[in-house]
Amino acid sequence: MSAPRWARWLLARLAPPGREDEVVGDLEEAHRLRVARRGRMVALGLTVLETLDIAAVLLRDRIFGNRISWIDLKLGGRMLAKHPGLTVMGGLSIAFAIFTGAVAFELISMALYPRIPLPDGERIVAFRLWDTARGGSESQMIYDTRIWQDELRTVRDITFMRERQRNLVTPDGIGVPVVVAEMSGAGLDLAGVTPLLGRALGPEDERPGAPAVIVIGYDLWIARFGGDPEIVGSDVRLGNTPTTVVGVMPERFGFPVAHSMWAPFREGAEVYQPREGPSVLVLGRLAGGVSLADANAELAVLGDRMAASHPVTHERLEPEVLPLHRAALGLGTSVWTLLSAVGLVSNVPLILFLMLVCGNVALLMFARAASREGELVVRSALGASRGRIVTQLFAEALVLAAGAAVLGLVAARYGLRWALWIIQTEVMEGEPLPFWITAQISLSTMVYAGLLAVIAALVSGAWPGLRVTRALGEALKRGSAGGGGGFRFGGVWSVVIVGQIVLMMLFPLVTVAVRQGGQVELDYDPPFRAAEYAVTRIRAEEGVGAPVAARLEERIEAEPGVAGVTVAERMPMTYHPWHEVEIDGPSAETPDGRGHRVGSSRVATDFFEVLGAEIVAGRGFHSADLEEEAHTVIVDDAFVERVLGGRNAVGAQIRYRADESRRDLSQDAGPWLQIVGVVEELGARSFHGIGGVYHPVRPEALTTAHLIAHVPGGAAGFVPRMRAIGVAVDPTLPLHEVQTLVEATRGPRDFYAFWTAILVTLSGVALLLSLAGIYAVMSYTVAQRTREIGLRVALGSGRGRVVRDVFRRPLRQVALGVVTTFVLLAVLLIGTGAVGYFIRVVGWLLAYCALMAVVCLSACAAPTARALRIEPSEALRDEG
Amino acid sequence: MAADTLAEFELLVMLAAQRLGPEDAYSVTIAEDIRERTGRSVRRANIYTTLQRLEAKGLVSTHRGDPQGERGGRPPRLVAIEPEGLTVLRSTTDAIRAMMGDLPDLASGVG
Repeated sequence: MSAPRWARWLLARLAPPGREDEVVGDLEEAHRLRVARRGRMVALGLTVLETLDIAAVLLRDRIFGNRISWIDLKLGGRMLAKHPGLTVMGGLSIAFAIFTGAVAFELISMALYPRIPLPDGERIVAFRLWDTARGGSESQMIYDTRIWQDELRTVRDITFMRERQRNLVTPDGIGVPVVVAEMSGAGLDLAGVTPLLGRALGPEDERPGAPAVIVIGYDLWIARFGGDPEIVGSDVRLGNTPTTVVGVMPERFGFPVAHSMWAPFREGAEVYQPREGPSVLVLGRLAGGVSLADANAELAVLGDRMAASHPVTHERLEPEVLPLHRAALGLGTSVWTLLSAVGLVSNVPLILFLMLVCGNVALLMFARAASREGELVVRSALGASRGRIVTQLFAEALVLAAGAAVLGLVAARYGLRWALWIIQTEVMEGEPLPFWITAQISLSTMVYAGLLAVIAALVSGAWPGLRVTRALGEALKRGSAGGGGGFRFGGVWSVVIVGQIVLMMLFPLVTVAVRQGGQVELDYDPPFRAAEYAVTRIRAEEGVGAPVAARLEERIEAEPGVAGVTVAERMPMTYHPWHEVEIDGPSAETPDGRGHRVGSSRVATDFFEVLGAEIVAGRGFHSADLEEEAHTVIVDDAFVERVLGGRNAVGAQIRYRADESRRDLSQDAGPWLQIVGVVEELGARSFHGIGGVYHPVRPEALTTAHLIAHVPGGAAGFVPRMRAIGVAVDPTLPLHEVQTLVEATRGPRDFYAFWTAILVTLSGVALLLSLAGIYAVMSYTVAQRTREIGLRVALGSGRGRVVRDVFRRPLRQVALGVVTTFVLLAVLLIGTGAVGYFIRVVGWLLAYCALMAVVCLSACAAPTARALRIEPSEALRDEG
Repeated sequence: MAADTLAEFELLVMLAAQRLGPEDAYSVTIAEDIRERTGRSVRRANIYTTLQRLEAKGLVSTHRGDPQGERGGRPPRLVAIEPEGLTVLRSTTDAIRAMMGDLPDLASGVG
């Protein structure tokens, strides 16, 4: 007989505070009446509809009070349909601002406050042992794990996991590198997820002599086994070890971080002493009713005891329990707190950007509101208060902003996918992202976008509404409203117009600068055919001994069709880590007065030869350059141009400066290095631009090496062969990202192409919007003076003088905007030393000035001409 | 400031509240009264909105009633018409009556 529970719950949540009982009571009573009258089923349907209807009203009241009605919103929708130009341009601008905000918010949320998609995922924790002596984490924790398992009461199911890079060789003989999570005990059960097929790992799998087994992830199952439903029980090889697949985990499961294969840890944890054994990640689950602080308090006590009983190894170790995501990203509590603050602060520029965009829309809305003067006067005369009129204008802007928010969120989903892809390829260098990071827009981001939409509506609707109604009030007092000229674009709007002009000129300049930077990337034409090179990455710590790497190189080189093989730390046409260099002699100036920052890579002595890169000055590398005391480098011609100002580089000396902010460099400046040759540019780039330094290296000295094979005629067909050679040389050898150089370098180029396109589009929209806003306001300002112009002409004023007077104010605003832009640019560019840029863009600036003048003149011309056509006698009669 | 006249739906709600009296008038009974007398199906969401508006104008006041069994032991929010509401109700009905005065019976369809 009762109304559905969810309906009662929903209305109780939405009802005004203190009135929950009354609203739910009404629902109950109405439902009973309906049941008595129409029967249970019909009553249920009607009650559901009524609940949703009432919920919508209560929700609206919750958000806006009773100030906005559906009629306001409907009217707002109609007004937007009536002004499609404003709707499209204003909507696109707000949508872009919301898109930017939503993507940034989602990325920050995912990094700092993610939702782990596991049952009670937020209660899964990881342990960290912080070594205060060296300021880093101690990851050899197997001994400590045993203690924690025995002693801790606040964390249960404690287990550890070791990562191992293995080569998965499927029956077709193809090997792919996979990161295997070797779980201790029933570690996989900690996630609380049932396998899709087969079983998870159990303690029996850990026993010595037990058959080798693995559980695989969904994506691997699909990619390598074609989603074979009979996979359970199949045999594969992990390196040289025959292994049986016993289970498949469900889609998007990558516990503990980004794993796609799980195996038992079978080394026997008992044998390890304190700070011995492999590096492990220790995991557990908070006991029921226990907080993170409780667990840390208990762990701290235990840590003190360990420090006392094991002073040699544990005196400087501080244990800590962290949420899984923070441990995975290596974020200790202090760093996490700092990042949270940064995340919070980063909202400020985003909201400022939104307000800037909305200022544009506000200008248009104000001009439109001013053009509705007659309607507003009538509404005011019929008793509409100032609040009602402002509310109506706010409602109109809200409808626009809500539509823009939906558009912005849809775009944000794609933007997020792009951003994650870029992070994965550029920052993580192809490593997978944690499994809880997905390109999904979360509910909190939707709420954030809603908040941005309300801010946008306040700036672009309520604010102009307040200005208009104030002007209206003054006009009514003067008795001049309704006949035109009631509203005045006062000082505030002059500031907005000048601000718009400044923005309109500055924003495209930034776009031009970015586009020029990106264009370098897009236009770069390497001296070699990227499609003729196959590349792969190997890592020394994965057991790739020097002999294996050398054998692989030899085998590839011996293949028919392969012209040469070389090794380098970094591939050409990709990001290179930068270092600040000091020149022994004259060098070009830098914008900030610091040393030049250039990318660098260590390469085999035949690197340039295999790539077919020409040595344009000096010589290439010799085997003598590999001697420790040789200290020779080769630079590219972009380096010569940017750093040395084009002077002869051969014989010059450079060294890397010490940089305390970078932990990977020593605190002392490096040795002086002699430039022995200049090579043509190979696309080495860093965050600070193009230009690279190449150091000679023996391939076996590289921890991470890229093997580059030249296959004249096209390397695409050679890629599978390269994989097969890898397995033949050593089945345990993981070859990462075997692909052509074109594929390997596609990411950065696509990234620049994408952002250049976005910026150019955006700059076009911003330009149009600004022009439309400026045009609308100026045109309205002049139209307001129609009667005044007619009167002045009637009273004998010369037409030329009238026109000069009319044009004076708009032109003054344009001039002020242009001067402000030049001053800002001058301050900005002189401050950063980029005066050269100013000279390059001065043509653009002048073109914008001309465009602005044309827009302003044409905005003023039509209404002025109209006013001048008025018969003087008519103007005088109207006034009378 | 109170309005001089009532809109149509406001008038129906006020008339129902007046008929039911301050001890029995609340959203469900008002909706039922209007439905029974006019045959119109009434959205209770509209009654909430209208009562809120009338209360904001000072034409009605509301207070919490006693818990009732058929409401699952929950109380209703009772509606009482304020003197100002009664004045506006009278002026609206007077206006309608005055306009109807010399017209023949509309129900007969004779114009």
